[in-house]
Amino acid sequence: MIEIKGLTKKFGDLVAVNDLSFRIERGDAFGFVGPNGAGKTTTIKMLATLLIPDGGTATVNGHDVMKEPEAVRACIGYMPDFFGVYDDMKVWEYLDFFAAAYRVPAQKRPQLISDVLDLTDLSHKRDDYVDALSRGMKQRLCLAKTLVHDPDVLLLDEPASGLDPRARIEIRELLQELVKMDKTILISSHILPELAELCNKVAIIEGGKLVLAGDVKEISSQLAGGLRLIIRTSNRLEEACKLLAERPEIASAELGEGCIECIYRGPEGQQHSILTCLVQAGFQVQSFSEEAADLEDLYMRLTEGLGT
Amino acid sequence: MNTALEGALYRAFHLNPCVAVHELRMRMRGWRPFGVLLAYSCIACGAVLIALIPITLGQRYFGRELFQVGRIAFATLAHTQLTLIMLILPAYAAGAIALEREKRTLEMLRVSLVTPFDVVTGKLIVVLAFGAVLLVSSLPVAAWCMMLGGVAPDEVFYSYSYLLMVALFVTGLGMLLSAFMKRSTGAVVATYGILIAIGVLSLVVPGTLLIRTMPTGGPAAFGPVAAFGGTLVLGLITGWLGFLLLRALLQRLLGRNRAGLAALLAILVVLVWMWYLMRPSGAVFQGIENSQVPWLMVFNPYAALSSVMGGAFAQFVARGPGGPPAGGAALTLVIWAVITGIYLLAGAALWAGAVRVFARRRD
Repeated sequence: MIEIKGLTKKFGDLVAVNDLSFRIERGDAFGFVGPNGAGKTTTIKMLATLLIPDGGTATVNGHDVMKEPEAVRACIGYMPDFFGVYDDMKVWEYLDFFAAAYRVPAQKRPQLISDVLDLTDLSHKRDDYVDALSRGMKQRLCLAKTLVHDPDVLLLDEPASGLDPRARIEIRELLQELVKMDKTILISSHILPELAELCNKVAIIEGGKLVLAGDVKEISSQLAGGLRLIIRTSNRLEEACKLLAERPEIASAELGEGCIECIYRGPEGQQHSILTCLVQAGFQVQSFSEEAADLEDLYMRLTEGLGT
Repeated sequence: MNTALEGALYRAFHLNPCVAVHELRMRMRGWRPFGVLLAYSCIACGAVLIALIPITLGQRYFGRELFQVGRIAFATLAHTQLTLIMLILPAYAAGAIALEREKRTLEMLRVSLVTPFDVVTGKLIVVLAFGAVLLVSSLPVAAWCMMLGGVAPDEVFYSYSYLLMVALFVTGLGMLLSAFMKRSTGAVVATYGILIAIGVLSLVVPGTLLIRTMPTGGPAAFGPVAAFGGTLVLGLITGWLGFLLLRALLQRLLGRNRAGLAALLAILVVLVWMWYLMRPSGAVFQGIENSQVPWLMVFNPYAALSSVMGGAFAQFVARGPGGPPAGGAALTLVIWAVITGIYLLAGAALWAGAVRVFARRRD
């Protein structure tokens, strides 16, 4: 769906993006993580055909961003990190303008506008002026504009930056809806917990270079040396911990706050054998869960020692 | 917009009219366009009223016939409109693209399927249409002048079509600079600067001759003192703008300080060269025959307007109302065709240039 190979962009002496390569499959929610100035926006702008790469190739839906920019534009929805709005323009006019800009036939536009307004929960603001909307609403309107031609790929550059907590949650829920709609999403952010809840894949970029890219769980598992399991029992917690530490598929087992934290290195999908073992040994297991990948922790580990 | 019309525009000109529709929605909303229209009409009426003072004072038209007063009133109207068009339209045109860049709305437009041709043409059409509305709004005032006699319908057509071509030229220039420059303020200043520069340079070279040889019936608005004063003031502004432009162009090659020095030297060389050409025994005064003067007028919008109207005026002066044609109608037509043609071509070239510059810029 999106394939980048050796992508490079220079601004004078500054190498903003340096030999970047990764691949995003259809339906992926791909988190693009990095500190300010890491090259996230530059990469997204190259994918959106706004900047010409100095080296490498990038394709979106099989179309080369340099050779077929119009075909790329037709299949992407781009939301910039900062965008202005037109004065003296109503919400529906704003969407109608962009629908026309994407050559959506005039007779289809009213229904389409209603649909995207419903999706972004802005139907009640249809006849309001754009510049009178709150920041969060403007952000949602921009996302509605991005969806107006029903693109397969969404390039979202810091979609929740500068929003209050409520607006952030609303945007996150909206993005989760889009993931369910099987859109391919490339979303950049430096607010990691947001991405962790949304993305199945992640790329970490630092100083224009790719640090790591891949499945969030896999990366987390690799870095931790296995899957991180959290187990709670109602009795004999220390004994249970000792038993687990003796199991060959458990790399380490430690007592946490009312729980056991252990690293599982056994075959994938066979974690239940640990639970069976505990139950057979007479322990009353209250909870047995796999800890969600902590993207923040992951990011800190990966970028440790790298200058920002 | 109507689907059929949209489709027809796209098939005929490969033009997606969405930018034009969008511009119309934004520019024609609120009190501003009506305020501009009202101010424009008031100024046009005021100028004509001043020209008609001889009638209102009842002093036998200061020794002129009524038809001559009507002609002077019409010439005043045309020249006032030229000034207003050159003042109003650059402000609209020069901000059209640069303002979008400044407000960060251009990026989203660039990733859509609208082409540089759609963007530039859509914006240009709307500014030009507003210019046309301004011109049409003054037609009742022109009719008022015609009632006094001395103004023929063909003169009205010549002057209004010329003004429309100037509107195209000014809009094209503004659009080109708007596509080229990063900031709207810079684009507006540069557009006015270039218009002033065109005015000054075209006055400095043939201006003096023009004043000397202007037909008696023409509106000899430029007295030698006004021309000298205007040239001095405008020359300083032009020189300064030229210096800034040259320095900006040379800065990458030579560095800021050296570029400044080189630009200053270049401006001085141009000034000395102009003085050399303009001295009484120089090439300009010696080499140009009086018969060539009307063709030099084309470079100055005011002189060109006088020239477009001058032929017909001269005929009226010679024959009086209802008199026999002076035999210059064909020449007048040729002068009008050449002058409006030059402005039309220049406007179209600037329009095409704006599309090209917009397509090449990536921000």
